[in-house]
Parts: sequence; C-alpha cells; structure tokens
Amino acid sequence: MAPPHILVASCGNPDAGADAFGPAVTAALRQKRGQTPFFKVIDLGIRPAALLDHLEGVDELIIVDAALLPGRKPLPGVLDIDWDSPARPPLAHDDPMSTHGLSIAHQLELARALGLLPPRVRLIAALINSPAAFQPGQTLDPKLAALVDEAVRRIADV
Amino acid sequence: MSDKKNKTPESRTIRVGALARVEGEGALHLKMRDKVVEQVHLEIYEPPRFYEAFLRGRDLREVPDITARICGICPIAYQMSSCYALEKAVGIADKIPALTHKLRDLFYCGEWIESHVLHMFMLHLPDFLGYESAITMAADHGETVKRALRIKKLGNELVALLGARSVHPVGACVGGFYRHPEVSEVQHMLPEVKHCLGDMIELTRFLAKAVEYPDLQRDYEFLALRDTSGGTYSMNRGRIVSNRGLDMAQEEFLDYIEERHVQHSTALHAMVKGRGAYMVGPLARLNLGPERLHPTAQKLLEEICAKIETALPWRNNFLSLLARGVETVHALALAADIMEAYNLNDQRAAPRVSFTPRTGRGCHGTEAPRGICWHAYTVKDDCSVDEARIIPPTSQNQMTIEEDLRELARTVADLPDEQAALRCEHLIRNYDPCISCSVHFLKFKRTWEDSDRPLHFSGA
Repeated sequence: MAPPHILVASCGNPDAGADAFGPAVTAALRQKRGQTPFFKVIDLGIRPAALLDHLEGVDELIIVDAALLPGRKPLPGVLDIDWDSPARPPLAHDDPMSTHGLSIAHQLELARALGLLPPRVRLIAALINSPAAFQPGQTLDPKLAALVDEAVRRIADV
Repeated sequence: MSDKKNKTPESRTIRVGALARVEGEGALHLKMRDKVVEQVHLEIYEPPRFYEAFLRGRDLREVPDITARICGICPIAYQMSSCYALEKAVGIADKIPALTHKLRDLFYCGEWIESHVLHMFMLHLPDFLGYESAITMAADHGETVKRALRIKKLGNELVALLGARSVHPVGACVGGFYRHPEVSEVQHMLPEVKHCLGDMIELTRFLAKAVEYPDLQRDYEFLALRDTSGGTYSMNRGRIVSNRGLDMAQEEFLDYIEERHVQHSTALHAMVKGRGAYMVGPLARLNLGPERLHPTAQKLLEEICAKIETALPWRNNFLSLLARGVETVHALALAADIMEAYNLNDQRAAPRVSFTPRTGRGCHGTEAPRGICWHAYTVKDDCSVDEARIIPPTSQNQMTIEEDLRELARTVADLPDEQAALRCEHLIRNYDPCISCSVHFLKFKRTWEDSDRPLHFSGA
C-alpha cells in the first residue's frame, strides 16, 4: 500500500516581519527532510493563488502561515489545528483581498466545492496579535524564529 | 448603507470606498445630478512605490528581477520590457537570436494563459453569470471551473519552464536567459499543452454561447503593438499603433503619449497628446491585429463573431471576456508550435548574448496581459542605471475606465445602491486592472443632497 501523499504549503513575504514565518518553516523543512514523491514542500510566497495547482491526489495538506488574532496573547508554541475547527483563527492572508482575490481560505472553499479538497487539512501557524508585526523591510522576530524548529518537528514527524 | 437627508431625487453622490490592498488601492466616486453624471473619479490612493527612483544607481543586470516584483500577476511583462529596453541601451538588440525571441514568446504565453484564465473564470465570469464568486459558481459549473484550473496550472508550469519558478521567475536576463530548457522537459509538457488547447477552444465556445453580454458601445482609441518583423500577434516586439492613425517606433512613445497627475489618484493618467483617453489590452490587440492571430485562434474568432453576431472591431469592452478567450487559444497554439520545433541544437545554443557596458538609452514596451507595459532606461558605462521610466497598462486605461463609468452610470441611476455598485465593479473588471482583485469587495455608500447645496463626497 502506497504511503499517503502529503503536501506542505507555506505563504508569506520573507521581507515583511512575521509574514516570513511560513517561508522560514518550509525552507528549514526542505533542509531537514527533503522531498519525496509522497512528501512535497512548496512555498507560495506572496501569491497563494497557486495552491489549487497542487492539490490533485493530495491526502493531507499542511498549511504553514502566520495567523492573526488582534489583541490575543501570543502562544508559547505554534498553533497546530484542523482547518475546519471552529477555533481556527484567520490567516494573516485570509482576507478576500489577497492577490487577485484568491486567498488560501477562498481556494480551499473552491476546492471543497469542486470535490478537490484533501481528506485532511491542518494549519500550523505562529499566532500574531498585531498587524504591525507584518512591517515591510523587517526580518523575522527572534521569538518567532525560535518557533520555526517546533513547526518543522511537528511536520517532519508526520 | 444609504443616508438620505433632505432627499431629492435630483442629485446624489455615490462613493464606492476602499478598493483596498493587493496590486493597488482605490475607490470609486460618482457625483450625479438627475441622470447626468457630473464627475467620475476612479481613485488610486496606494502610496507611490518609487521603483523608478530606487532603480537609479543599481546594476542594470538587476533590473529584470527587481521590476518583476512590481506585479505578482504579470512579472514576465516587466522582465521582458526591461530586457528589451536595456538591450537597446547597451547596443545588443540586433544581436538577439531568433531562438531567444521565440522562447521569450513562449515565456509570455505562460503568463497570458495563467493571467487570462484566472481572470476570466475565477473573477470575471461570476459577474456575467450572476454569482457572487467562483466558489458559488462552481456548484453549478464545476466542470468548467476544473478545466479552467487545469489550464491555469499549465500557464504557471510554462512560466516555470523558462523562469525556474512561476512566482517572480528568475530565468530571464539582459541578453536572453540564464539557461535553456532541456528538450525532454519541453516534450514532456507538450501533450498537456495540446490537451489544454482543445479544452480552451471549448471553453471559449461556452463563453460565446452561455453568456449574455451587456451592451456598452464606445468609440475607443485602441493602442497595441504590431510586429512588423514576423507578422505575428505581438507579445514582445513591434511598433505601437492605434486605430486613429498613430504608428510610432517604441522610442517615440513619449512623443505621442503623456502622463498627467490628477488630484484624486496617485497613479498618473496616460493619454494621447492633444486627444485624450485610449485603451490598451485584449480588445485593443484583437481589433488591431486579428489577422496576426495563430490560425487556430483566427478560425475560432470567426466562429465566435458569427455566434454573437458581432463583427470586429468590437467596441464593447464587456466582450473583453471573449477576447481573452481567443487570446488564450492563440497563446496555447503558439506555445505548442514553439515547443514542437524546439530541438537539441536549441537546447545547446548559447542562452544569452554578452554585452560591454556603455552609456546609452533604450525604450521598449511589450504586451502584458492587460496591455502595453512600456519601459525606458538610461544607463552608464559603469553598468549602472542613470534613469528609469515605467508606464504600466493600468495607468494607461484609467482614464478610459472613468469614461466608461460615466456612460454606464447614466443607465444605473435608478438602481439601488447594491446593484449599481455591482454593475460598476463588473465594468471595472472588464479591464482586469491590477486593482481588480479588490473590486468585488467594495463598500458602497451614497448620500442624498439638497440640490441647492453644494455636493460633497461622504462615506467610508
């Protein structure tokens, strides 16, 4: 029996503060685990509209991003939650005004409508409590950088 | 949403606020008295990005990769325009081999396919069919959306074939490419290109058959490239021509076109000197060069014209949906031809022409999916950029969009706010402007004023 196909997809701008979290995780993951036909790692960068291109045949999708909950106290670790959980916070790019209107959330809804949604979708995220953390020109905050290893470990253990 | 104070039906101000983020930020203001539109402002208030300023002093070899960052949707347009302009500036334009031009066309095919299909089926078609979004449309037209997604994916793969990645590709350079693709890579993709070509022909037929197009005829001045060397439908090369007699070399662009600052927008408004607004993009290209389309697309175009009972020139920009369909078929058919002809000698040929830095100037525009993207550079003999000028397609169309809205606004004067806003958004989306991603999310607000009082804008 073939192993399940796992797709790990990050999005974000590596030069915009906390937005760099997702790309940092997928870059580290590639180094640690590499890629196989059954374990694919992609970084969608600032243009998450390409996620739909990669969903065919995927059994488990893991989205890696920064999640925004204004005013919420930062978590000591990363958030690891089922995509459909009512407790899932919005992504930093969840608003409908991402590049050409196709945010990650919109694409997954479209995938669901088309019957293309992978059976399991997880979100692994750094929880951010202020939009100011996404300042262009800033590097990843050391506290968030420290969470990259934990995110990589959670994914690599799949 | 609506405030009605001292209500009179004679005058009102309509504000469509917060086009927000993405490739641009903007809003729409309509000021009306009776059914007469007194003022239309498509505001672009995104802060200036200063690309032209911070390119000064940079190594000219960095320019294609820097300017590609201007847009997440059409980076190839910025790379190709800057490469061709800089090759003129350093004196190697005549040395670029035919193979490089062909591969650049193939590169551009990928961008046209991806950008056009994304816009047509994910963003524009829901407007025509009465759905809120592609998600709700997918419930009734799932197979159509799936086929479109497959074609869009292929467009991204074509970009990655030459650019190493589909987002902000890095394969192009001044003089050509950093490497040529392997023949095996190209041949591996060819069956999918042919499959998608067949699908796209059928999808375009569907658009002609199933969609009812609003009728808004206007006497536009169309501007597009015309390739005088090979006679093909221009993507990368050619003179710039219009249906009102303009026929200029690339270097003469600023002799005929000027940019003006307008108070309500941080984007400059481009216009034909002494004349005014003009249109760039699919409708302009199609009207100015249908005989240059790939034969497969030409045949389809004849069929489409017969189906909708409208011969070229099309003067209704709601038909831009069909124009994009025909252009996507052209791009797929052209890509298949280029890929079929690609061989081992091509793979082994030098991927780029070298150059010796010199002082010079070069100007060039190419056809981005949404119209001419024109660049000009002055460079110095230390390989640095001395001056840069970039005129993107959306700023060229902005004045025409406002004029279209002025025309449309008369016909929606009696509609409720929500419906009027949707009609305006639909029209703006005809142009697939870089702010198009946000026009589905406008807040619509209007106030009623006493006609004796001066009108003022209000809203979000």
